[in-house]
Parts: sequence; C-alpha cells; structure tokens
Amino acid sequence: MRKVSVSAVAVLSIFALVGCQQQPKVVAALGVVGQILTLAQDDLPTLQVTGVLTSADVTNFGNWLAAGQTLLGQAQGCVNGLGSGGSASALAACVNTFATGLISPTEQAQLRIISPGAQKKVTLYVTAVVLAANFAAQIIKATQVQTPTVGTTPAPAPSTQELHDLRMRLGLSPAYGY
Amino acid sequence: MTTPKVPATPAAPSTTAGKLESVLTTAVQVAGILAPEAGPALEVFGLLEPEIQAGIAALIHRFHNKQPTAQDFLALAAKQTGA
Repeated sequence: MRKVSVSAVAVLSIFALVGCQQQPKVVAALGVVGQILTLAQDDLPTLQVTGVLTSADVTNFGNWLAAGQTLLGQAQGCVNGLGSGGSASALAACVNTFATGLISPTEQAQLRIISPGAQKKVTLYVTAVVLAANFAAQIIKATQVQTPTVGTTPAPAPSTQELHDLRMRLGLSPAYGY
Repeated sequence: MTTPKVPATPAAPSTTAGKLESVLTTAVQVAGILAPEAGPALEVFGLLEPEIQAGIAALIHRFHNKQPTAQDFLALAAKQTGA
C-alpha cells in the first residue's frame, strides 16, 4: 500500500513538473495568438480604404477578431491564474476554452464574408490565428481545431445529433408524441 | 501503405539524411499541425500538401528551438491558403 502511495506521489509530481515547465511556453504561445489578432485588427482600416473589405465585411470580421481577443483574454487569465504549478491538464482546459470558442457557430457566423478578395485576406488571418492556437495547444496536448470556413455561408448546419440533443433538452421527444 | 516520400525542403547542402529526418520530425511536432502519436512523423509528413511541407520546413529551419512569431504563422498561413 505504501509502495503504491509513493508511486502515485511520484507520478503526480512528474505531471506537476511537466505543467510547471509548460506554463511559460503556453503563455508565450498565447501571446503570439494575440499579436496576430491585433495585427489583423490594425489592418482593418487599410483593407477597407483600399477596397479589399467592404464596410459589412469589416464589421463581421472585426466582430470575430474582437470575440477572439475576449476569448484569448479569458484563456490567458486562466493560464496565468494557474501559475507555474499548473498541471498540463489544467493548462489544456484553459487553451481548449479558447480554441473551441473560436470555432463555435456563433463566432463562425461572423465569418460571413461576401467578396472573394476579402475572403482570401480574411482566410489568411483566420488560418494564422488557428495555426498559432494549435501551436499553443500542441504544447500541452490540448484540442487541435480546424480552420473555420470563410465564405458566404460559413456557419455549418447543425448535425442530426445536435438536433436530437436540442429536442431532448426542449423535451420535444417523438416518444411523447411531439 | 505507400512508401513515404521525403519531400524536397530548403535544407542546407551539408544536412545529412539523418539530420533532415530529425528536423522534419521536429517540424511536424513543433508546427502543431499533427499530433506526434498520429503516426511516424516522416511518413505522415510525406502525405501533407507540398506547400504545407515547405512552410513547416521553412518554419523549423528558421526557428528551430525558438518560439515562432506572429509573422511566422502569417507566412505559414499564406503558404497554406495561397494568399
């Protein structure tokens, strides 16, 4: 029993040590994500003046970038709150919040960009943000996300499972006749 | 299973095959595009689009053991999207 306890403590110590080593790397990687978001935000006025993005595109993409900054701030606060003693799994939870929030249907709806030229530019920034986010996630084996689609109808339709879950939550089950 | 191809990369002339494999393996892991456990890194790397291979290789060549910057990710994104 004592041997098992010692082993368990050793394993937990190793995990704590891994988290301790990874936290500054995650902080730095999330900082780079923020730099990309800021670069894109700073580029918006120029893109509008030069006609690459329409006013509506600027509003939509600007909303996506602003939401990205908000999510990032939450993730950074989460990671900083853990400190250098944060475990890898706790760090992963912080990063996952950002990554999954970034590709949520609500956020993807902001990527409804009409003009093909604008789509290309917005896709560039969105891809860079996701690459940087995945880099941060890779450090602590958090969830990797796919680059969301930029286009006229970027928001994916709900899956059959999602519709089923929604019906269950609302109590709209065929078993009850509705 | 096809024989994995070692992609053409902007490696220095003095780079040996062993070093190249090591660099590419690290590249796949560092770039965070594929998890290390996805398979033998070099084999998986050979299945990626050439532009992505080049982007990752360029990234790791320039920033081996360094934190990639925002400009690095934008450059990699440009290679991926053709922007």
